Amino acid sequence: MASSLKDLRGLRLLPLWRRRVPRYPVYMNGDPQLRLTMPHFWMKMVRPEKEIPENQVQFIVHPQMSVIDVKNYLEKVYKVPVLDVRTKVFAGKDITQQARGHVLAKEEDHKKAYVQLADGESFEFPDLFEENKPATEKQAKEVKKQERTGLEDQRKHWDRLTIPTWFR
Amino acid sequence: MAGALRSAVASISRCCHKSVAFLSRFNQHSLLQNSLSVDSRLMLPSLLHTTSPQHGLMEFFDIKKNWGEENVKSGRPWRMDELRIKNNSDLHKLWYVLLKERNMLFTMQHEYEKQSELLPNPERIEKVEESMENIMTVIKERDEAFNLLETGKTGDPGGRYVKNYLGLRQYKRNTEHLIPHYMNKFYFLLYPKNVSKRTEKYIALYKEEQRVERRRQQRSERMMRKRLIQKFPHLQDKL
Repeated sequence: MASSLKDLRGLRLLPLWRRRVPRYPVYMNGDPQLRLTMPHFWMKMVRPEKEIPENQVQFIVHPQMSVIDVKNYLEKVYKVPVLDVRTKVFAGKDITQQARGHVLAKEEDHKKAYVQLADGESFEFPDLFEENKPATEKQAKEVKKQERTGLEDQRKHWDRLTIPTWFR
Repeated sequence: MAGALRSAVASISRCCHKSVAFLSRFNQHSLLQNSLSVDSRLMLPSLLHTTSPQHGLMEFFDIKKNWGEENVKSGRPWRMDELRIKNNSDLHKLWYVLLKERNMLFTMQHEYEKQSELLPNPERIEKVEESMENIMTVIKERDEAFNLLETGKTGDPGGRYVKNYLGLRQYKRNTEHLIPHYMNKFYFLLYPKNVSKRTEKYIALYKEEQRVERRRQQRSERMMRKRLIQKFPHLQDKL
């Protein structure tokens, strides 16, 4: 038992995006500049809650990411010119039960990055469901359609409603 | 002769690539190998490189065709064996492709959830993460092999058991530091050489508690064995 537990000690239980980034090597004066060859950082673009200027974009980023990291990430990986980056850490809100008001759980803390694009670049957050309606709307339509056909069926076979549908 | 064959091969290769690849493999020792291999190489689809188009910030979103779709088809993650035969620069490029893909999926998932929808095929995130982890393990293997060749050690810093300020044994992984630990005064606050006499009493009590617990467990196991043998005598020497 104990030996098997020992083997499990090194098992990685967290998904990669939740893990801490690996330690940077210790830097001493005169060493070459540290370079990230394989960054573990992630960023996700989020829709701004308020109206913002055209050249601003908002991201939720890896909690260990610094302002310089965000700037380098966008410039080197995505080839987007960046003028300025600011970050802010938000505490997750409490999820309360509506009826009694006690706290059930807490939302995740997150770091948000406010990016200002350079060189007159602008970006508008696209509307994903402009042309193709989302799946739930389609399903709701189907349910309505089924209900309508059921009513029509009832009207048609008003005298045989007690008999199962297969025998009508 | 060679010219005629080349034109013939070119005409076949227009029809299908696979047959030419097969032909070139078949005639490896013939004198016409060069003319054949050049033609086949030009026609092989695996050597046709295309870089992904750069869309700037729109790379954070899926292609427009998949917006609002119910199902999005995707392949399987990269396997370890496939990654082992790739060189380092290819793995480096693939890492960034996967990084962008994961960012895209996170963005889409967040936006879908904001619109109270579900992301189609969310297992894509796990697939990308699996291939990323496979790349990490392959690179670790290469690092270890390189270190073993160069220094005879794997390069793993390892760890050691130390006594902490409570006087309890604790495993500690070795990490890089600017000064050795015996020159660091904060290290001796956490891991002092000698534990104070006040804590010694409690260590003794803690050890006693552990000892008692262990004995209680052993006794309960012994009693259980005894009871089992009373019930099932044929288990006499087997337990």
